[in-house]
Amino acid sequence: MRRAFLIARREYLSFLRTPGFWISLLVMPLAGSTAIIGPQWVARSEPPPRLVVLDLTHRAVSGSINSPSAYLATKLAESQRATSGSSGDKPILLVSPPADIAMATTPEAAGAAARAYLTGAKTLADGQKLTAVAVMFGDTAHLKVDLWTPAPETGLLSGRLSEPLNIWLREARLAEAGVGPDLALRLDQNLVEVRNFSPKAASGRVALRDRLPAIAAVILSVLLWTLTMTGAGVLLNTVIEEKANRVMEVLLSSASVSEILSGKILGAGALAMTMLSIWGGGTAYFLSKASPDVAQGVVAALMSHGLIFWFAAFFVTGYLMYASIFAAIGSFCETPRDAQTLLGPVMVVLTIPLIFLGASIGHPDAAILRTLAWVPPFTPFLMSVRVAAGASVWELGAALVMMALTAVGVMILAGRAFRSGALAAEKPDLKRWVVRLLRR
Amino acid sequence: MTEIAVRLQHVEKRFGENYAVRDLSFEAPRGKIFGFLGPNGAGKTSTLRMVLGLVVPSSGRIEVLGATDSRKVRDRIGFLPEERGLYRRMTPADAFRFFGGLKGLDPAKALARGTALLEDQGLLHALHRPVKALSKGMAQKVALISALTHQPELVILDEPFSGLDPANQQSLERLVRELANGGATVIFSTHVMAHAERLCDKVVLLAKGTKVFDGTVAEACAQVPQALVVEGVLSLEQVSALPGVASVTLQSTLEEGVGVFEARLGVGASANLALREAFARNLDIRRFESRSPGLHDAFIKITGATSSSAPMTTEGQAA
Repeated sequence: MRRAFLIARREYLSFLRTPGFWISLLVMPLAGSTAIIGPQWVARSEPPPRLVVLDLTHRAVSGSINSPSAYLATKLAESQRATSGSSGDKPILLVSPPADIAMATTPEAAGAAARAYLTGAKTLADGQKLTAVAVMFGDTAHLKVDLWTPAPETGLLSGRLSEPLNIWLREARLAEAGVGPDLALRLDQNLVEVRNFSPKAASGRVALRDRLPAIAAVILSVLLWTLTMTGAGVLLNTVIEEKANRVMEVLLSSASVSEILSGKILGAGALAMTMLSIWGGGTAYFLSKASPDVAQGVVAALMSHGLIFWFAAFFVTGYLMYASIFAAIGSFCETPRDAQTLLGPVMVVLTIPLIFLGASIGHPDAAILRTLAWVPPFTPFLMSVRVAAGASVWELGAALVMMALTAVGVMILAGRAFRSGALAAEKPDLKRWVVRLLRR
Repeated sequence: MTEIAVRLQHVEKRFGENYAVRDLSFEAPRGKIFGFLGPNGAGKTSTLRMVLGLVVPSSGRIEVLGATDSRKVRDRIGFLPEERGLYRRMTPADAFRFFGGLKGLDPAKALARGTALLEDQGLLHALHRPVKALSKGMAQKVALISALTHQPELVILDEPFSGLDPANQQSLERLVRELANGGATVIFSTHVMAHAERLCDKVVLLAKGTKVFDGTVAEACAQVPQALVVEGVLSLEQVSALPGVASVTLQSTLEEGVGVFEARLGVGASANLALREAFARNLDIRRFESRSPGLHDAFIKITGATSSSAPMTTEGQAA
């Protein structure tokens, strides 16, 4: 045990001193922040869209209400005032139609005129480029908008136009049916309210607090995945380095395989725990300062159904299983390139739970999820979601026992593989070793 | 306490159908320097790994420091693998603490001993420099010192002179001698004969996994007849007639009828006797040179390999 501790200590301190640790530490918060801020940055870095609206509906729409283009202009102006200074999408700037577009009397003619502006062949009078041209035509029974943009792959602008135009269409139809503006306004008030209730919710009625456990479970699973990959990755690299430097032989002449393997797993695990503590501590501090209510909700979510306990238990067993596999793979590799080849199948397996995690929030009790959660390579990642869904203690306990047994079995096999790989006289072959093991 | 540090009896190691070591028996006496010689692939590293307990023999018995399971005495053994055996980012100070600690030594004590040994080698300035910043010779010495901080009774060195310059080889030889003088048993493998000749009390020669010789360096060399170079106005018959001469060849003829002959003496024959007899017979001799065979010659003689095909070197370079 003393030797295992010495090896663990060396593993821990040696990686703590490398720039790689600090980079790994920053990757998660950076990735999270970028996922939130990134789209806003992209939207803000774009110039505001410059839109020309050509309304060909004036002959078809009743004169008692505004035209759709006038209504749209009002709503866009309101939106511009409301969003000024915020970090969201840039407000749409309405631009007077150039003469050749304004003179068009059919959608086809307007489209033909718009092409020149959207391809950059022509510019507006102020020299600016046009971002989009919306041609409205039809009547209140079939109002249509042809939206011309230079980038067909983006559909954001159409969403920003359809919302106010749908409201206008509703009001126009009501006006045609003889419903006055006051009544129309009253109709829009007190619309149906669907209230969510669940016996699993604390107060019966579902609130954000009740949805937090499921969200927290998914975040914890992603965290577990990241930490497992980090710890196991560290282990893999050090084993390859020790083989290349022949340190492995010195270690094996000084300690048993189990001492070396457990020391390495312990050291890399301590490293993963350090990262978890720093990330968890940082998040807790940030939340408690920025939003104490959310912080309290998160704490309650982690405590509900013993989520944090089960997470810890599945973290330990999952980490032990994957760390052993990675260490064994490392012992069969001479170079990082060898490792890439052998890691391919493991990475495919590790990707599967990630694919199902996103869908698990909405369907935690889906049969496929319940089944996959019992497949040992996926259990550590998917069982947290089952915890949040209120799985029985028996289900969770049995899964944990299965995981513990699997982890022990994998560690024993990995220990044998590690010894064979680490001391192979020639270039070790993992496939041959597995075939030999199966034959036995 | 037994006088034998390492004893192998009929040890074999197979990898599938291939024999790495076949029916190997030898004894390494305590407090001596023991050379384990042979070309690459002869089975040296496999044997050392079995002695260290890293690899289990397919059959046979191994006894190390009185134990049949060397893992039980691993704290009394120091091991230097071929090519460093150090972490590149580790400093010598950390290496002494870590590897000494693995051998059961208090890290502070390991550092003190390692530092003292490093100072003996004139490398104290490297104590806190990472290994990757050291020259190969310096790193090799640091690796050896790391294996010695716990003052092992048995030191096993796998190709310790490999890749070192002559100055570092000499310095490492001195360190090995000091170890033996201090009472440790040193077993080292090499394919460089000169080191074994200078250092070893006893050698085992391996070829293709099989022991071909076991004894002292002198005994190995005695297996090869001494050679003479005789230069003078002589005939082939006159040189052949000298006592102890087994065979003679004329190497070249110089001006004024002077010939250069190479004569092989029979096993146990004396060059001095041949010289005395040559003077007694008043032979016109200009040069009489006795060439003692070395371990390299002995290996070639013992294995039947030709000099050009033998994958071993006589001095300082890898085969």
